[in-house]
Amino acid sequence: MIELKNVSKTYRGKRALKNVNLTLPRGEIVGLFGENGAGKTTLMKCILNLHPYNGEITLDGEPISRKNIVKLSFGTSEHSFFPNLTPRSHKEFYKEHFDTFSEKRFDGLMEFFNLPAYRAVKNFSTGQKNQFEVILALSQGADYILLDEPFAGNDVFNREDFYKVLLGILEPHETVLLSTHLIEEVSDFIGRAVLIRQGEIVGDVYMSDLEDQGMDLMTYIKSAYQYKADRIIQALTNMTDEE
Amino acid sequence: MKKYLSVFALIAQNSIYRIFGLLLLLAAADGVLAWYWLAVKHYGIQNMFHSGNARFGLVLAIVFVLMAAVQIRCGDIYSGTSGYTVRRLAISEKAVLLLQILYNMLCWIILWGVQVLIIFVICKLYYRFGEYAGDPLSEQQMFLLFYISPLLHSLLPMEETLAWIANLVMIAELSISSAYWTVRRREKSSAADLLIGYWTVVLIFRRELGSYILNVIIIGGFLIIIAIDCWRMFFRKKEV
Repeated sequence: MIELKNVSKTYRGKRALKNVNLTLPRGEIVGLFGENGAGKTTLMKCILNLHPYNGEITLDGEPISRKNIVKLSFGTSEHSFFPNLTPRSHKEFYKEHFDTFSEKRFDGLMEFFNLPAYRAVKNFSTGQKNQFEVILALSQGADYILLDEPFAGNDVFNREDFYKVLLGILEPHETVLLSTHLIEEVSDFIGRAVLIRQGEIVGDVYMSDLEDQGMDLMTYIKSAYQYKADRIIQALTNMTDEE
Repeated sequence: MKKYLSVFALIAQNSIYRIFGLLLLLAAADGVLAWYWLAVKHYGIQNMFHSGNARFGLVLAIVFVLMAAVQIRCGDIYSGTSGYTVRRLAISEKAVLLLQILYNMLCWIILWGVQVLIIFVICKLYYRFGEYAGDPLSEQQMFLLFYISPLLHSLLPMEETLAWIANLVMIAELSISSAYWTVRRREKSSAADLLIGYWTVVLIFRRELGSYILNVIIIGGFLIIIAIDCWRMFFRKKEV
């Protein structure tokens, strides 16, 4: 279980995270939603120890350190692979460094996405780079897979494929924290939604609870964000009104 | 062991082509200089290396600075987004720094080797095709050059043990400073003090034969810098 207690992070005087309390048990697929700059990426980077922060983050009861960080994997639209290496070299590198690396899953996903094994990743298209990034994150054999907008730039069919594959290959002990703006696309397969706004958790709900309430995810998010639909009409009226 | 080798390879692949490029640049520039002074100006090989007019030292200095820049700029595998992956490896930052130092050492040794080889090739070609072609004493004359010219003697100090030690300590110091510079760059802290070590290298190439005291000063200076950098890198600094 990943546990965040009163986690705060300040960037150049601006608070990026404010007293975040969050628990991510094993075996859940959690969607992390929020507008640009809400703190989604910062939250993930704090979990990965990439940013210093105030508060406490534990991984299965232990502080996150070099000893247990292998339980975390990270797939990001910024791309954390080594651009000069080929997928084949990545496979060898990951096999060497991550005891839990799943060669079978790596090979299977490479074949499924039809990616070339012997071409430097820097020469891939953006879509292929995103796919490869996700393949590495899923194949590392981590218990907790953090995916930060992994498909920014991929087409809808590609994303659809990924969602199906993800659901099919995940083991019961694997947890996925998926940050995305594609709320409607992921609402069918996530088990829980966490909403972040201006560095604060403003909503945390299980999809089954939403179903019981007869509410869809988008409606829930809009209500949590106090989204006012009439502001568009108002703005258009203001812009088009003749004097 | 393979774990460490794979990280070593990762460090190397960031800069290996640039390093090869620099070595080619060195060979090409030295070749052009040798052709100009020997074939066009008929300066004679002793004059060419001894007078300093031919600027072999300047070319080496430029390549030297560029190589240090490449090591500093490309050596840090923690920087950039690939660093997100490196930080999840079980291998410690201190081990990575050691590998980086080893790689830098290898680069400096290769630079030294290539420079000596280029000079040997220039001499060999000169004594084979130049004005002394066929002279049975040409081999001896060639070795005499390494006593006469401060630049050549600094590169290959022959039987002067202290100068060899100074050269080895210099390579160690440069390798450590370049690795430490990448850390300072990552931490966005100034590394201006590390320039002292690089400037001291100028003294190395200005040594005359038998500069005993200068060698002792150079070795002492480099050892102090090495000790300070190692203490800061391996004992004072927190792991990333």
